[in-house]
This record gives sequence, structure tokens and C-alpha cells, in this order.
Amino acid sequence: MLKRVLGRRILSGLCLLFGAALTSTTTFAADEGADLAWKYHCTTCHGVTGKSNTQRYPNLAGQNSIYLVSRLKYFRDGVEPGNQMNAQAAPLSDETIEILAEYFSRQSN
Amino acid sequence: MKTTLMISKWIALSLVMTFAACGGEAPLDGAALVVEKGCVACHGEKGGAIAPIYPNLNGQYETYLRLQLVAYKSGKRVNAVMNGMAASLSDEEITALAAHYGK
Repeated sequence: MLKRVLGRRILSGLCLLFGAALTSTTTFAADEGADLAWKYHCTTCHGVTGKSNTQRYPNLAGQNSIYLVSRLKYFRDGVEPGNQMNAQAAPLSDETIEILAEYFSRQSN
Repeated sequence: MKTTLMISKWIALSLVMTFAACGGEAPLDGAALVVEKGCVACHGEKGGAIAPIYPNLNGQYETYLRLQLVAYKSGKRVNAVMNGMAASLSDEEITALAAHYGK
């Protein structure tokens, strides 16, 4: 009897923990674009919210996501030799590119 | 007499050339140019792209836009459509187009 009650308590405790973990994952996911933009140094030139710090670099805030995805893949795949973005985009996976593009696209210009 | 005639001819010629040069420096009308050059077909009259595959140009830096057009023209930036669009643009036209869409 005691064993069964204890078992249930442990089970509900585990459920709570799992629930909490899920919630925190969701919270993390909401900032994932910002985290990746920082991690891959996009923010150094394009700003935290996609507003560039010099006129030589494009603003990304509010830019069409599909365009940004195609552009990043061009860079990563070396379609335009000599572009300084090629090295930046080299380590990006398709998934990371999608997240980064979506992040900058939803910033207000 | 002959010398005076030659001198006045030279003066007249240089005056004409000066006027011609001044006329060439008149600023181009960006709004008319984006229609004439076909930019509006994809980027709209004010830089809002007509489809998400094309970039919005409104809110973009003028300097950046000018540099991209120069790069398209030289082939440094590669794009099947834009390389052709930029190929025939003069420096003055590039400046006017960038000023029209950019900020």
C-alpha cells in the first residue's frame, strides 16, 4: 500500500518535472532566433534587432524571410565568391538559417 | 582677323560644351527611373516587394543599395535577374535609384 502511494507520488513528481522542462523549452524556443543571431555573430554587423550599424551592411529588420533564407544559402554554398558573408554562413544548417531568417524578418524596421 | 574668328569659335564651342555638361548633371528623377528600368515589377514603386522571394528595398540604406547595384553590374554579386537589370545602368542612374528606394 505504502509502496503504491509512494510510487504514485514519484510518478506525479516526475510529471511535474517533465511539465516544467517542457515549459522552459518553450520559453527558450521563443528566444532561439535571438540566441542564434548572437551565437553566429550576425548581431556584430546587423544589430541585435536587424538594424545595421553601418550603411555598408543591410538592415535585416522586416526583410522577407524567404529572401533571407535564399541569401544565406547562397552565401553558405559559395555562389558569390569573395563575399565576406560566405565564411559567416559556412557553419549554418538549413534549420538554423530558417530560424535566423524568421527572427530578423519579424523585427520591426 | 582669322585668329579672332578662331578664338570666337573656340569660345562658342566651350560655352556649348559647358551647357551640355551642366545639363548632364541635372538630378535624375528616381520615381520615373524605377518605372523606366523595370525595378517596380518586383520591388514596387516604393520598395515593398511584390512577392516574398524578392527583398524589400524600403527601409534599406541608400549606400548599401548603391553598392549592390554596382556589384550586380560588375558581376561581383551573382543573380540571374539582377545582373541583367543592372548591366546597362549608368553611375548616375544607380545613384538615383538607390536614393529613391533607400534612406
